[in-house]
Amino acid sequence: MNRKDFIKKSLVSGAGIALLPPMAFDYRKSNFTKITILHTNDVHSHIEPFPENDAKYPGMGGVSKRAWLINQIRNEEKNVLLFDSGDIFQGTPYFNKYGGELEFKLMSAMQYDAATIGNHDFDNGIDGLDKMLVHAKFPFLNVNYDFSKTVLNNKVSNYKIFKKDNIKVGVFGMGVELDGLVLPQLYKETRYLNPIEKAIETSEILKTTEKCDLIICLSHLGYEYNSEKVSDRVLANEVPYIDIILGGHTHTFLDKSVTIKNSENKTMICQAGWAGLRLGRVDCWVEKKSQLREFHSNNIIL
Amino acid sequence: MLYILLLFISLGACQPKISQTTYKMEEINQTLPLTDSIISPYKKSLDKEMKEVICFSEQAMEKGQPESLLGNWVADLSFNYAKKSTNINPHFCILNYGGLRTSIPKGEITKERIYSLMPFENELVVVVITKEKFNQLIKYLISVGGQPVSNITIKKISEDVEKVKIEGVDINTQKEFRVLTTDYLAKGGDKMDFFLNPIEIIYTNMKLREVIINHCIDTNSKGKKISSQLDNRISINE
Repeated sequence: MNRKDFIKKSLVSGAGIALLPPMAFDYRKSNFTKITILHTNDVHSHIEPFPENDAKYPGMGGVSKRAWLINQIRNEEKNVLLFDSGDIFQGTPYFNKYGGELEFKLMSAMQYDAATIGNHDFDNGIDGLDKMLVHAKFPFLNVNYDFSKTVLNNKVSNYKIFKKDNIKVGVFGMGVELDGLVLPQLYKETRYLNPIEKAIETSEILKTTEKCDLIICLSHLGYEYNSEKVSDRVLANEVPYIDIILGGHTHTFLDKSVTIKNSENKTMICQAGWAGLRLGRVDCWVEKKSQLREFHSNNIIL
Repeated sequence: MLYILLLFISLGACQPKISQTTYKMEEINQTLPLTDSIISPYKKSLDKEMKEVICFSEQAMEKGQPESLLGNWVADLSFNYAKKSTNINPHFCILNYGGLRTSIPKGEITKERIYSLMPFENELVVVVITKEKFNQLIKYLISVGGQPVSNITIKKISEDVEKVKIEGVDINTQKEFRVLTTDYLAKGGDKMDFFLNPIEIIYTNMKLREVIINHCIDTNSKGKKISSQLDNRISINE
């Protein structure tokens, strides 16, 4: 894609609904269901806010504020889903000392609905991750790591479907290539599978077999690269049927989401920085069995 | 920023506006007793160890390329540790910019800060490599725009002409190079493929973080502050 094209598409995404006929959408009609998706990524064990003397983020972030805000939004909205896009572990002594136990306990208390696995979640080895799963009361989703020869066999699902009112929300997870990022002795027999092929396969299952009305990908692939490496932008271009990619890995403060049009639909890409400095929010108005939908995204500064 | 706007989106002239929810920052600054009570026992035990001030820094140190105060500091203290406190006798040191996860502020430095700087359990190792792999290492260093190094100076003068100096080593006659780095990089992390299939790897059994913490404590016990300087150890004139 050339630069001019990119700018044009970004502008289109900024306008939000420019790709729909302007009069077609009226969110007040009763047949639209509103679903509020909240998301984090790359929290990296940032349990407490940054110290007050931090040069960049003084006093910002911290699980307690996030928990309060999530609770507040749950009180205001009927249909809330809460996801994390990986790299929950590594970055503060909480991980070095307790191995991720507290991170998972807090996410369970905040009632996360699902998470995907980031490269740093292997930092204590695949066994270190496995040992912590007992503290997570939410599922881990991934389709492009083959864990069949590892301790995580049957402990990670391809996807999960959430029913909110009459709307079926299909959610799957994707991980970044581990080779070169994580030592082989840590990820052991985990096999990395082609993310584009797996995403096409999974989103088609969710669309046609499972008949989902909304398809969400929790991605730890990264937003964009200068190389051929698969990123969320590549995924959005090449995979039909994904409505929203909740991204991670590149620590991108995508405070304004980007929407990419592909052969079948348009895909919104979101990412909420890192370290729990943002809570990402996407409000979706979805109509059963129709292509009419409206997404509004926003990263809330914590 | 005092006000956080949620959903402040105008749908255009022919559409009604979606109402906005506004949160005051003071509101968001509230906490949930539930999460606080989960964190509390972990925090108490951790704080005892981590909030301890272990040294003072002369200056703020940030990471950067081709060289930086922070990169030079960590590479130099690692090299000096290996040179003086072990018998592995490295020729020079190379670390990775991406592995330094936060900056060092001026003033008080807690143990927690060093954990944030170097959260990984990486160990210092010496990788013994051939002249050919060493040349690849130099090409890599230039192509990525610099990494933290110590006891080596590299000047790129023009395309294909580099001037490389290692204190105490005649590069023209040297056949094997003893490179101090971390086990993560030694195994090809950050695309340092020249470390794969080496002549030998020698383990120090010392974590890089422990070496940094010990350097802080030592410096402080001598009544000094930690400090660093830029000295053009890597210069790339394109």
